[in-house]
Amino acid sequence: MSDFTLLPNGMKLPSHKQASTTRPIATAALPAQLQLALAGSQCCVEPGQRVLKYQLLARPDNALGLAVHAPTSGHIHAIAPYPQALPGTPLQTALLLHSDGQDEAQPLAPPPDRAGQSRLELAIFLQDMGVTGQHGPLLPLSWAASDAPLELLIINGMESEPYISADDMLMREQASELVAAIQLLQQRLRPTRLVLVIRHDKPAAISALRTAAAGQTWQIEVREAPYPADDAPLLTRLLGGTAETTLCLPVAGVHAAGQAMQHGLPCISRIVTLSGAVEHAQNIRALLGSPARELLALATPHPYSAGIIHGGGLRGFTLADDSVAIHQHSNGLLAAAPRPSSSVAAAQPCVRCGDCATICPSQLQPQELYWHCQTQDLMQAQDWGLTDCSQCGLCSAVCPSQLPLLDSFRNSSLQLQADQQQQQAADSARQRHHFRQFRQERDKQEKAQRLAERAAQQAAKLAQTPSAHPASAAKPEPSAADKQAAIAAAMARASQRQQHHQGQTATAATAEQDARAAAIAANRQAAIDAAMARAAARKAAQDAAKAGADSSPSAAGPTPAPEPAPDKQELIRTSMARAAAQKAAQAAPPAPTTMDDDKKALIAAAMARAAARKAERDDGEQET
Amino acid sequence: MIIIMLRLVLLLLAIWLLGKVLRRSAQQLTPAPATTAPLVERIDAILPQTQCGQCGHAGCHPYAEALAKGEDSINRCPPGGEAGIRKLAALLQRDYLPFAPDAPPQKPKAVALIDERTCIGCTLCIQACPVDAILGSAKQMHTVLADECTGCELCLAPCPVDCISMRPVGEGAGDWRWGYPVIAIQPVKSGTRP
Repeated sequence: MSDFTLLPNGMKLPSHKQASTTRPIATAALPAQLQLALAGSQCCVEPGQRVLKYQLLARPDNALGLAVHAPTSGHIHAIAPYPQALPGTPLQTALLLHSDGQDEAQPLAPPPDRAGQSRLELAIFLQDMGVTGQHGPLLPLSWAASDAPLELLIINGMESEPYISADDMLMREQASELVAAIQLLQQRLRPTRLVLVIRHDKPAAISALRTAAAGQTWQIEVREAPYPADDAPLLTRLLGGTAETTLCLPVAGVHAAGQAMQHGLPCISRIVTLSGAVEHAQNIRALLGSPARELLALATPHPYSAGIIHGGGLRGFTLADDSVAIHQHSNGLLAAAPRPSSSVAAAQPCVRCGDCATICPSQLQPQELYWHCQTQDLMQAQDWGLTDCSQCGLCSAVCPSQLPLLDSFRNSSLQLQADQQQQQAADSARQRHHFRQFRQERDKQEKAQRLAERAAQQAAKLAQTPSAHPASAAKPEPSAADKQAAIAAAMARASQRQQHHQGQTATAATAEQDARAAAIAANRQAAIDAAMARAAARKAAQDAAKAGADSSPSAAGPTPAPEPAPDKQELIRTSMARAAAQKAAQAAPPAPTTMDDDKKALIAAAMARAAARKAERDDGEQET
Repeated sequence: MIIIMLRLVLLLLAIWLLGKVLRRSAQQLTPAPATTAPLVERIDAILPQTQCGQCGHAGCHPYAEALAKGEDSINRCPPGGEAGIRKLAALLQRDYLPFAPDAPPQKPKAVALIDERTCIGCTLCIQACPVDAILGSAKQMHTVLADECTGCELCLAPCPVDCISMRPVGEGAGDWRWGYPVIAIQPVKSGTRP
């Protein structure tokens, strides 16, 4: 059966897979050092720390991040920026783990109770186990958190890219584990239909899976689809699903998920195809973070090979730096054959042959897209379907003018994403700005309203009390008392300050002898000083009150005051003086070690610094 | 006679129908006013919303208003960059202009950072921030919400202790993109296609 009718475009490519499928999966030797990138995850170990195999090294800190576990035992040598596989990538923070060769594992935590796990709990568990899917965790958290129905679950075993046979070998050799993993996922996710789709060019894997999956309720579908049939949207279309209700999971991820769900094993390795210009093409199970060059050396590349291609024959790219480490998505490492000098020739202008348009599996017009991407006209590129491009690389492969179509689409689609993010940021800034303006306006109105209300209340009160005159006539007496109390308080404050000054000189004298002792003593001394000052202030206040009481009859002499008034006045005066004295005692700094003084000094220093900086800048400006 | 009457009636009917059809098509031709946003809003959508005031207006919306009235030129927004000028030129159907010589120079995107040891908690920067991206209260340390900061630099001037600095947003792994493919296109002689 042929799916060329359903996928009209696409290309039958030489698969180049036979060489690497003749040998069983080997296990790579323990590398001396491993480099684990911390993308979207937060490190929870320190340099110099010894870690055991399976130990958690970094926790995911966003929805797309993955937990990182130690692939072997050893010491964390450094946490620093290191180069990554993608060409031109800025350095990314990575953990450098020096293995100690003992491969000492920590006991595995049992997997959580399977019955109670919801879809979201399962997704988070797999994220914590470092199981990766197409982008980020195997089960996307946003999908798991929504209650979208799951009608079709596709286990993707197509692997149509030339040279790569990692999934093929996994399905051949670990069919029973894979079947168990699929069964677990079926129990947990309960899809209406579950299909393992596999390409016709893997007969050994098909027979292995058919034997292992005998009696299962899900189906294995063998399809003869052209490259790039392993693309999730195309596969969904091929199997008659809709994008909203379909989930497409890679075989390798499902296998790792099964290991995690059954045994609590975190994902620390993956199968990598070593092929291309090598003597012994094969598949190996390599620890994540192993250096690419060391891995490829296991397959003995030809001496004339030039560089390492990371990925498959079409989507792969040449590594700028051979020492970079493999990651979760490194399904293949190919030794590049040197190009004949004629084919290195530069790209030529587009001849409008239309080959790219006929081959495009997404049915786009790559020549038009290329035109708009070249002029960075992203709006037009979007109209021509840039976002639908699956970046399969077929257009670049067939272009007779060797135009870098794939490269420009990759560049432009990322540019488009960045522009969209920027637009979102601008929109949120606009919203915040508008809200701020609204808030300020509202505050202003509320304040005006409050003031108006208060004014109205006062006006009403004034209108209600027509006998305001006697009250105002009686006022001067308390105000005189106030004045006297204030004088008394000032006197108290002055005497207190004097006392304090003496105390301070005393502490200063002791401070000269021993700084540390003085600091302790100063506190004690300060307390004593404060107590003394308080006592003195109280005494002074009493004296002042007495004096005030003595003088008040003479002040009130001309106008004979009513009988109870002097007592009351005296009481008020003394209490006010006491309060003032207490306030003064509190306000007066008992010792230079208090918080307020420190803060004041700090602020003064900071302001002085700022002033100096400003002055310097002014000088600089004047000089220029 | 009857035939003439019938013809007349038919003619009247035809004229009435024609008038109705014409009116409907005319209604369809005139654009509905509600569907297109006012010009000011469309200009505002292009502006980068840093609210920095480098254009000489009190924010992006006032600048958009001035542009809509034709009172200002389109080349006064440094954060918008040349791409912004091109978009404005296309929208307003004006010619592209290079940056105004008296406009402040363009800077790479930066985010304010408060030195938390020096901050005295005066809240002046909070009052200055146009997008409420600074968090703090009186006599408490302040901090900048880096995700919300537009890099307008309006908080730098009011700070009495000069504790705010602008940190350029570095290229993280998330900002990475494939390099623009650089190719040399060579002329091909006729008949020598490889």
